[in-house]
Amino acid sequence: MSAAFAVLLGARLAAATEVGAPPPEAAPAAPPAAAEAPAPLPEPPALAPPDEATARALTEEVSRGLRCPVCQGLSVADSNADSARAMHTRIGELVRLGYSREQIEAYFVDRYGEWVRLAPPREGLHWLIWLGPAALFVVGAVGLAARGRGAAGAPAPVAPPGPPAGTPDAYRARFLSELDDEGR
Amino acid sequence: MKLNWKVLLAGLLLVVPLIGVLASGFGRDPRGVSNQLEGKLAPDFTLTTMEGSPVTRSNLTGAPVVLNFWSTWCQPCRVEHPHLQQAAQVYGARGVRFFGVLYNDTPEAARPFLARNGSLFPTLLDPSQRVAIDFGVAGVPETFILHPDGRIVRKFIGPVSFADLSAVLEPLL
Repeated sequence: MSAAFAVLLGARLAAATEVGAPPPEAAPAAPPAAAEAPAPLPEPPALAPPDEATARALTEEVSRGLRCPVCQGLSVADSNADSARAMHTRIGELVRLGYSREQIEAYFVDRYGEWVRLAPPREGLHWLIWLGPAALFVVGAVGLAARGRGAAGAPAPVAPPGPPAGTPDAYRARFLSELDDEGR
Repeated sequence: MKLNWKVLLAGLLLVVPLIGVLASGFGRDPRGVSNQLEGKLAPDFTLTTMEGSPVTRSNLTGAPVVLNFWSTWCQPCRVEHPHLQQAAQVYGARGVRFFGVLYNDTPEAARPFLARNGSLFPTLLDPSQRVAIDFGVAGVPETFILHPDGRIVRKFIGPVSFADLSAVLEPLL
């Protein structure tokens, strides 16, 4: 669970880090010639081709969620590496053809594996990573609260053994007495 | 000292899965996760050679194809170059088609390199790296071996040797 939390934290930190200027926006992609690239993805685009502002925003959004293949924990949007810029351009092309975020992510996952996602998807066992740390926190908090209540309801703790103030220290007296005995 | 079984159990519940995750993570090549396309049909493409001739992947079916993504600035690519040349010499004669794909590099850099080190097969240009992304290339060198029916039989990450290529190509012939 700690590892899961570390993964989650790393993903969040990487996603939150804005390093340098974002890569230059991809030039609007002309639909590829049929002979050159028949269909980027097996299924047709889920959306109508978006306007330029929407396309730029979606390109950035998708780029922030995908990992630069040659960097350490940087998103495609955050990296200036050539591979990341090429991926950014490709994302822009697919966005402008009308492919949805899910379709584009699936395209990259098909090629690079789940590793290419900076954050795990919110589905199936991956929910464990998303919810595990919070669940662990709640369990810990409830445990601590229960313990606190138990302590409050319990009888007052017995004072540590020791002589009441102002009375002779029985232990010290016994110690000194035994010391005397040894000395004889 | 008395053993607190509850604390021990809670500790084990936290630590054992963590050790499992770490053991699995450290025991795996982080770049090895990207062999996603093995067994799948290779993405189609049309690229031009440095001499300007178009090459379309879907026209290459019927014979095994070796597709090597490389660049002149990549040291492991220099290491594998003689192996690829040797394989092209041996298996080119038996019908295997060999292609290099220049990755994040220029023909101006590639021409003198190939003139010096030999060039027994064409080099394709992929200036936008679109085909490299379609093939899930994360860096160079990466080499794909395609079945005569167009499926990706094997993807090598890092420099290949003649023996590596031979082991995959022989059963395809």
